[in-house]
Amino acid sequence: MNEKIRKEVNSLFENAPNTKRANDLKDEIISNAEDKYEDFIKQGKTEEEALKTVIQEIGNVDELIEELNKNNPIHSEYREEARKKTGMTVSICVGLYILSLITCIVLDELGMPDFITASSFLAIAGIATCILIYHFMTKPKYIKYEDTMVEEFKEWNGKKDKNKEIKKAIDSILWTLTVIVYLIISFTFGIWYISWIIFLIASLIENIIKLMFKLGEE
Amino acid sequence: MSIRADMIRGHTETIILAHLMKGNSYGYEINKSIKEKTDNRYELNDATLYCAFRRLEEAGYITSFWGEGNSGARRRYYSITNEGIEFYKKSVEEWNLTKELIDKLI
Repeated sequence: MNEKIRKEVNSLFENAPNTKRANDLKDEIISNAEDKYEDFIKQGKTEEEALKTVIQEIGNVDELIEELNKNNPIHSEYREEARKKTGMTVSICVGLYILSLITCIVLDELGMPDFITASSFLAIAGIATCILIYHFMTKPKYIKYEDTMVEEFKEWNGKKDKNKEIKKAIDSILWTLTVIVYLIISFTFGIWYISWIIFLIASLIENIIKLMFKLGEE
Repeated sequence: MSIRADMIRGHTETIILAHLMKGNSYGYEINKSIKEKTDNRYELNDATLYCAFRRLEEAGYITSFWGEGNSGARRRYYSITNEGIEFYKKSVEEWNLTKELIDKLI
C-alpha cells in the first residue's frame, strides 16, 4: 500500500525540477503522508478512502513549489546582512592588495633589500587572500543564489554549461601562469619594483578573454 | 464558528517553534498535535506547513536532519536552534502585548 502513496506523490512531482530541494520535499511529503494514511486506517477508513484523502490533502504541488519560491521577509533580511558582510570583506581585501603594492614601492624606494620588499608584499597579499577564501568558504551556500527552486533549477542547468567549465579552466591556468612568470622574472632579473605589473597585464588578458567569450556567445 | 485563516497565519512559525521547544519532531506529528490541542478546530494545510519549515530553516531558527520513518521511508526531523528559542520567546512576548491591546480595543 505504501508503494501506492509513493507512486501518487511521485506523479504529483512529475513536473518539479529535479533538484535536491525538490527531492527532499518529496521524501518529506511521502513519510508524512504514510503516517497520515496509517492513522486514517486506524480510524476505520477503507484503504481507498484513506489514500484518496491523503493525496487530496497534499493538494497542488505546483502551488507548494510556487509558495516556497515566494520571497519571505525573514530570509531577505538575513540575506541583506550577508550581502553587507560580503561587501565589507571584499572591500577590505581589495584595500589590502593595493596596500601591498604601495608597501612594495615604498620599501623599494627606501632601498630595502629585495627579499624584505618581496616578503612584505606577499605577506599582506597573503592575508587578504586568506580572508577572502575564509569568507567565501564559510558563507552559507544558499545566500549565493536567489534561494528559489527556479534559481536552483538554473544552477543545475548551468552546471551542464560546458562553456562555463572551459572559462573556469582558462582562468585558473592564466593566473597560475601569471604567478609563475612573475616569480621567475622577478627572481632572475631582480626587478621587483616593476614586475608586479604582470598582474595588471594578466587581469587585462582575463578581461579580453571574457569579452571574446561573450562576443562568441552572441 | 470557524476562524478566518489569516487571523492565525501570522503565528504559524511561533506555533511550530512552540512545539519544537518540547523536543525534535516532524511535520505530521506537529500538525497532529495542533489538531489535538485545538479539538480538531484548527489544522495547518500541507503547503503552509512546509513553507513555514523552509522559512524557519532559512532564518536559522530550526535545523533539520533525516531519520528513519515507520515504513522505511526517510523522515525529516526538525529541531530548534538557540536563535529559534530567542525568536520564540520574543514572539510570545509580542503576542501577549498584542492580546492585551486588542482586548482593550474590541
